[in-house]
Amino acid sequence: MDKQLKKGFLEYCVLGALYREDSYGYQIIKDISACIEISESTLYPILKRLEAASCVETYSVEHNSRLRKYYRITEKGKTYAQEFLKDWQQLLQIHEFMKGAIQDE
Amino acid sequence: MNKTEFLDRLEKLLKSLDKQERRKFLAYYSEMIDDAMEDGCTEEEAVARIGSPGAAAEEILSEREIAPQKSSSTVKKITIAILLILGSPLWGSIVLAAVLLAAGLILTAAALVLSAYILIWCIPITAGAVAISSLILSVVSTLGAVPILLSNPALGVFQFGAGIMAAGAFILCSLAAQCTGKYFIKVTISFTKWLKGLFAKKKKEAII
Repeated sequence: MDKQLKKGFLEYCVLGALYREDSYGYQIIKDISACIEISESTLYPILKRLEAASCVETYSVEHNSRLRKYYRITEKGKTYAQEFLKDWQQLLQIHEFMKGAIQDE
Repeated sequence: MNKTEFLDRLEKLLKSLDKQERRKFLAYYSEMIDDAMEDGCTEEEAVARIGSPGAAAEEILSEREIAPQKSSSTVKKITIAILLILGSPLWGSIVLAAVLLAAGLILTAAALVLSAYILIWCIPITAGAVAISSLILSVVSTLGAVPILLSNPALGVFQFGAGIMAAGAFILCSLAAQCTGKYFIKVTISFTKWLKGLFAKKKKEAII
């Protein structure tokens, strides 16, 4: 998949992974990997961007005598994620348009 | 490669970042490795999952270039502005030109004031000078006429007449000098007052 396009989708995937419950880096990667390939190094900037956009918040929890950083989705993040599903119709239309154009050739 | 080696290598590769940011990245990767090990990986496997420190650093640094720069603090901005103004050759030359222009204007104004005073006093001083020279001339001519009168009566009478004329010129010129002097004292006083008023006005304006 195109790098820029994938980056956009990965943001939604992270919000999806956090939608039901708070999570931490390793767990997020495990969850998302079920649908899209993601590496540790790609996740970090996505989390940072979502945090800067106030879509997620962070807090630290002590775990096995070390700190683990948890991420929590905000109301804004939830709205953002819901809007993606609403955009689905639009994405389908683009898909159909592209399919038609390529088949016509 | 074990966890410590990986983090050491990554830290060296991220030297260009500031300390705080670098620490965040290292904490992130450290947590990832620990969590992978808790999940059943060996230390080597957990590190291998992430990939080489070089690839991780490359990803971090390339991503960072795209991300917008942190806005610098206000103090930093002001300092930069001051440095720009002081350091710029353009600004420097403009300031220098303004200072030179101001100095030139002040000098011109001073010269104008001085020449105005000289101009005002030119007539009475000239009249006075002529009066004094006429006085000397009349005294010398009249006194000198006496011995000439004895040897050559015609020349003596002429010389005496010239002396009296000079005395007349002295009287006229001294009168003129006195009158113009009085008048120009008044003019000088009013001119000085006007100058003072100009300054006072400016001061008032400056206060407003």
